[in-house]
This record gives sequence, structure tokens and C-alpha cells, in this order.
Amino acid sequence: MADTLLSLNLKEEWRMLTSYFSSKNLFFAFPAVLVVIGVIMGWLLPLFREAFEMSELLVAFHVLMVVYGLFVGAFGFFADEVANTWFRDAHLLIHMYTILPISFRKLLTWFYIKDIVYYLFLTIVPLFLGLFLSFSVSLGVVARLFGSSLLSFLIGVSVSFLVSSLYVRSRLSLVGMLVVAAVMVGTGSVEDFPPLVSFVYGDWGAAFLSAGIFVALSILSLAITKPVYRARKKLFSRTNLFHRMDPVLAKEIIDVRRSGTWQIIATSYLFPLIFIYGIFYFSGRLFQFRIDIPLVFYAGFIGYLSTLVYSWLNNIDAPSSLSTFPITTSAVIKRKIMLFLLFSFTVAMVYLVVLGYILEALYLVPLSIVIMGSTSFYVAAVTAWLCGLYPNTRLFDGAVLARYLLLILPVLLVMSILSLMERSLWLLGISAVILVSAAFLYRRVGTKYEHVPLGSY
Amino acid sequence: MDTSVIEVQDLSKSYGPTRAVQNLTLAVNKGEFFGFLGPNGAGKTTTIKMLTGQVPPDSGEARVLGIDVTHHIEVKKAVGIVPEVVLLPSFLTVTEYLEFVCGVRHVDEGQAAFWLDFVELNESENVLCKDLSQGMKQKLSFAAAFIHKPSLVFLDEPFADVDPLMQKKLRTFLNEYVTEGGTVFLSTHILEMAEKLCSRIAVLSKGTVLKSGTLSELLREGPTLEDVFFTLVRTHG
Repeated sequence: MADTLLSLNLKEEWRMLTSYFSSKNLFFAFPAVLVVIGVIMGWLLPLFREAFEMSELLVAFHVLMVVYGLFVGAFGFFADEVANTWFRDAHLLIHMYTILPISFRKLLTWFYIKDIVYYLFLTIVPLFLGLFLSFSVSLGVVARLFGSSLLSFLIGVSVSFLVSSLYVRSRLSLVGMLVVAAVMVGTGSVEDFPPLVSFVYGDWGAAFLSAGIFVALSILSLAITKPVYRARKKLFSRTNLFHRMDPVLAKEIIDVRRSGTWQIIATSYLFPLIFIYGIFYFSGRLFQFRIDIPLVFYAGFIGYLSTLVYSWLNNIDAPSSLSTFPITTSAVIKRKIMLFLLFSFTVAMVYLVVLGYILEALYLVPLSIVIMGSTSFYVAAVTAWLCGLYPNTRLFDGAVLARYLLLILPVLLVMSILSLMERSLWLLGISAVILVSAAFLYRRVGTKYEHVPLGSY
Repeated sequence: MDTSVIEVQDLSKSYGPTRAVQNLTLAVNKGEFFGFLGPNGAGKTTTIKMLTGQVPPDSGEARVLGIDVTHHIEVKKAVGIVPEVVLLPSFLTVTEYLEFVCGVRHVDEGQAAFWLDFVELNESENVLCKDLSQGMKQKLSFAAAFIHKPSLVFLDEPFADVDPLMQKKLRTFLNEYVTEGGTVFLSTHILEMAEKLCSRIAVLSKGTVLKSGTLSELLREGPTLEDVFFTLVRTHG
């Protein structure tokens, strides 16, 4: 039974992942790109070693692997019935406990193992294969680093699994666990992190301890995981939005509010800020220049978050729920862009004003708002024009992705260079061109999707 | 003289290598209660989706109330649809959904209150659509299909999850609707239901119509509709 469950889970994942691509060959482009990244990492290693201590690089790499594990390991949420809606029309084996005589715990165990196998072979192995193929590092070092990185990743996965399980089961215990973890991290040293110790000192004991932590946390998570049913229906007071505006726009606003997507969007603008800070920090160390984030650079950069935000707006509800009404696909797309502009502009403006105040660059806020507005509208219009109401899946199509990159990357590059050079007039001029292009694409969305029935493509 | 409200000529639709509907030809007259019967995978839902502008046909022609089905918005404006798989906007409450439908169809919002009461969902008016039971979703979908008083409705397995009391109420309503001049295109597996309600029936299998006619015409081929259906599907299907 166990091997059947593993093989069925592996097949299910394979079919789901490959369904996102227009051809199965394109699916393998993803690990191939990781091999190339691994090669480039290997080649850049001497450059990094000039700017950083080896110990700093090792700590950073292992921390990144833990963070990667934390991002992918929130398996505890599968115990919540809400997870049933995550995959839209797909119904997964893991949810079959509701109708078959098999426990949720058993299904989750094999789902967990399957996911680790996929992440291992689709991401970690290709990256290290690339590192080995760069011939910058010896096979022995690559093998040891692979082992310690894998252990770091697994610890990240199991911690995330435990935190998500506690979140679903008992939020009070989660607070308790986080306090204990904070104390442990606060009093310990990152150099004592077992996977890192196993790499630096070739310590097998530390490697076994790391594996033991992963196994123990995974077993504990599986033990406390129990399906949660939300029997109580939440009641909502009636909104009068339908009396005040276009019904499709009103529906979109209600969706964003009640699904909690507004919270995700509101916090999402922090991530590019952290990313840019990280880039500037490392570049500063590499090329010895002052670490400073220009406000206009951040303004242009957050425009590129538009694809992500537009995708979230499309993930809230299936468009086919409107397929029986006289509503065109282009009307729904345009309402989503409108909502995106209304909501994102407001949130992004708050970020720009606060950041402008912190950086003592309030005088740059008006220019930054123009740049943010034009790039946001342009990127959202490109995404909508190419992907319609399915950006999450259509962007996996190689041909669509190529056109997307062709339309987006040159603009990003030009805006980034000009903002770093602080050429205000040029930035204003380019913003105007982008704005006109965005308006043109917005009109093209209308013609492209006008005759496409909702939910039929 | 009969007036055709649905005219279909050689309509076909494939999904990859699967031919869902093949050269389908049929006509439905005004004021008919038309039954569309067939086993699973016969092409009933695909036909309804093509006739209501939800899916474009690959070839052939179809007109609904005189409108070419490729003009999908015009078709959807004119007809009412209860789909087989009821998908409702997850985050709208029952009342809000009906108000939304009134807004989209430019209908007076008083209709929302009437239909909320008719399908007996008053107690759930503030519950989100995603939290409704399947039967409640089906009732709400039924209300949404009739809110703009269409002269033609397409019902795809509309009673599958509805309780017997509500089924009886909806059947009575549909009979009155047809008596007053409305046309119903009903797809169902429930042969008893078709026998009770439909004035004319078509039996579909593997994407083609095997037989169509009035109930009495079909009953010449067997003692019950069930016998006729089994014989047709086994012989030609």
C-alpha cells in the first residue's frame, strides 16, 4: 500500500506540474536553468571570496537553504479544509480521506515524502550538478556541501511543517513554540547550526543530529496534524456596493476584501524593498560603494510586482462562476486591472511616502509616484494582455514567457539604469512612453478577449 | 404553426481526440418542454454549453431565439441557464449574489427578494455562496436563471441535489412557465422526470441524436421510456 501511495502521489504531482506547460519538454527547462545558475555560481565564487569571508558565505548559503525549506514546508495547512480550494479544479489524493477508509495522517505522510523527493530532484540536485560542472569546486566539497545544504533545507521544511500544523491545531501552542525557538536562537550562535558544523568540521555526529531534528519535527508535526472542519458558517452583513457601482467591479472588491487578499497585497511591497536592500548590500561589499536605496529605483522596481499582484487577484475565484452571464472576458480583465490600479497605487504610495521620509528624500516622492504608476500599469497591462485571467498557468508556457520577458525586461533595465543615474527628466519622458504603451495594451485587451467566452480557454 | 426557438444544424465539438458532439441536428419549438436524454459522456452538457455561448462550436450552425450562438453575449442576455456543475462566486452572500445577477442583467432588485423567498433561502441570505450545500447552490442557480424572466431556459440536471419538496415546487413552476409560453431545454438522467415533464424528447449517445419525437412517438418503440432508452443506447450507442 505504501509504495502504491508514493507512486500515485508522484504521478499526481508530475501530471499537475506538466499540465502548467504547453509541452513536457518545456517542463525540463526549469531544472536546466538551475544547472546553469549552479555553473554561474561556481564561476562567480572567486569574486565573492574576495569580498566576503568564507565563513560568511557558508552561513549565508545555509541560511538561504533553511529559508527555502521554510517557504515550501507549510504542509500543516493541508489539514484545513480551506486547502481544498487551493488547486481550483484539481482534487488531490490527499483529500480522499473524506470518502475513503484511509487516514489523513497516512495520506499526508506520503504527500510530504513525495514533495521532498520533487524539491530534491527538481531544484537542489540540478543546482549542485551545475556547481560541480563549473569545475570551480572539487567533487568532495560539492558532495559535502550538498549534504549539509540538503539537511538545512530539510530542517527548514520540518520547522515550517510544525509551525503550520500548530497554527491550524492550536495557535496558543504555536506562540509557546515560537517563544522557545526565539530563546534558543537568541542564546545560540549560527555557527553551531548542526548542518553547518557537519560541513565545516566533517562531523558525522552533527549530520546525524541534523537528520534527527528533521525526523523528530516531521513525526511531531504528523502526530499533531488533524483535519479541521469549519462547521460554523461565517455570516456577512449585506454590502451596498452593488447599488453604487458596476456589479462586476463591486464583486471584485468584495472578493479582495473577504478572501483576505488585501492583506497579502498590502505587505507584499516590503519584499522588493528587502530584496533591493540585499542586492545593494552584497553589491556594496563586492564593489565597495555606499549602501543606499534610491527612492526612484524602488519606485520603478515595485512596478514589477504588478504581475504577482495581478495573479493574486485572479486566484481568488474561478472565472467560470460567471460563465452563464452576459459578461465578456475582457470586461472582467479590465475590472481586475482597475481594481489593481486603485488598490496598488494607494498601498504603493504609502510605501513611497514613508520610505521618502526615512531616506530624507520627500522631494523625490512626486517623481517616484509617476514612475511607480506608469511601470505598474504597464506591467499589469502586459500580463493581462498575454495571460488573460490565467497568469499563474499561462506564464509557464515558454512562448508566452518569452514575449513577456521581451516586453518587460528592456523597460526594467532602462528604468533601473536611469533611476540609479538620477536622470529625472529622462525618467519622466520614459514614464510617459510607458503610460501610452500601457493604455494601448489596455485597449488591446478589449479586442483580444471580447469574443472569448468566460472560462472557455 | 410551430416556431423554432432552437435550430441546430450539423453542430460538432471535439476536445483533443475526443469527439464530444458530432454533426448534431435538432430543433426545439416555442412553448415546448424539451427533454435531452443520454448516458454519461453522451455530449449533453457540451451541447448545452455550445447553445448557451459558453463554449464555441468547432463546426456547424446553431441559432437560439434567432441569435447565432457565436454571439455569446447576446445569447446569454436572452436565455436562462442552470449549469450541471454549479459554480457560484465564492465570496458573495446569497442575497448579494442575486443582487449581482440583477445588476448584470439590468433587472429591478425587487426580483432578488422574490426569488430568495421562492427558493426558500431566506435563512441563509447572509451566508457566503462557498459555504452553501450543493442543494442550496442548485436552488440559488435556479433563481439566477429565471430572475430576468427569459423566454427560454437551459437546465442541465437541475434537480440532482434538490430535496423532493423543492423538486415538486420547481416542477410545478416549470409546468406553469411552459403553459405561459416559455420554453425549457432540460438535460437529465432521471427518465421518470423526463416522462412526467417533457412534451418532446431527444435521445443522445456518443454525440449524435439517436431518436427524437414526442413522448407518445417514442413510446411506440417500447412500453416505457426506460425500455426505449435502453434499447436505443444498447443498439446504436
